Amino acid sequence: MKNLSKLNLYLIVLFVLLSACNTKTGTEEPMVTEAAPMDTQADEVAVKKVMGAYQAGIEALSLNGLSDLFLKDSEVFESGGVEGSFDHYAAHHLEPELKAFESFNFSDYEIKVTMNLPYAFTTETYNYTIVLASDGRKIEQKGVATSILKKLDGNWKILKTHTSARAKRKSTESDH
Amino acid sequence: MKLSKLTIAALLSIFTIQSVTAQPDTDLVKRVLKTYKETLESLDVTKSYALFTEDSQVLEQGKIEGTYRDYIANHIGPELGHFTSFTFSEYEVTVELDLPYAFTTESYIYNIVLKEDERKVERKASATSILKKIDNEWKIIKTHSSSRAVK
Repeated sequence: MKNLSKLNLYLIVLFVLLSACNTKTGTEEPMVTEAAPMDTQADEVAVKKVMGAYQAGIEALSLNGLSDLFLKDSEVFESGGVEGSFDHYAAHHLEPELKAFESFNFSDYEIKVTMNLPYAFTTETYNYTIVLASDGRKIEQKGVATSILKKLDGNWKILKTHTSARAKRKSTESDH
Repeated sequence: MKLSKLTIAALLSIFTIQSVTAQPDTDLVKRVLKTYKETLESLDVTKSYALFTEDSQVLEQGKIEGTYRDYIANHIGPELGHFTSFTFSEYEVTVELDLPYAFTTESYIYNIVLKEDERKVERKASATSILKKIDNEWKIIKTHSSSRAVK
């Protein structure tokens, strides 16, 4: 009788422990870490440099080096479309498009960076002006871009980026 | 040695309850996004504040809308009042988890029927969001949606 009670008690304790492990699902120690202020500042500068380099490449109408700014499994979204990885986007969308432009210029550019190591979340706002090579026509748009960057081996790279734009006009019209 | 039937029953109960209640975070994240879509389809977003953090950021089609409260007050709230219906179709979602964050991508078609003249608007859209698990609840901290005409 005593042995039966001890075994029952042992099994109860075992199952309670197993249950406690089960409830930890989804409450694991987060991968995101707190960074010291100086580190955060340096990281923010580095993130802004990556985004600035991407913008400079677009303005130069050149893809040189842009792929290095992105992770291989990056995702690009533009104006309602799912473009795939940056390399796919570059090959099928961006490169042909840049060839059709005489110029591409950004203005009124602002960027905000929120650091949550190993991630950085960015929001960029800007105007852009495109001049078409075919007929010199000018297209002016107001755009936003939201990106997620990840720090890997000390380097910041773009994991995901989503851009959208609207014509530069007063927003009295419905966008739908 | 025989285990008491009561002990066995108790142990099985504990195990079953824990298995049922430990829902994967991916499903919980998808449920938040699904609830938001259903809220839009109901044309009444007034009870959806809890899906977003108070300092959330909403971006839509080239514009920063502000927090979700700002977006409801100044854009989507008034806009839904002009619709007879707002429905989503061909909906797909992917979730990437890295606690406490979830990074999501949604693609869908949306159809709007306008009250004024019953005109139909159909758009192909994508939305990228960041959710954060706070006090065991998933909430949207940032969402960016954009769309284009359906070809």
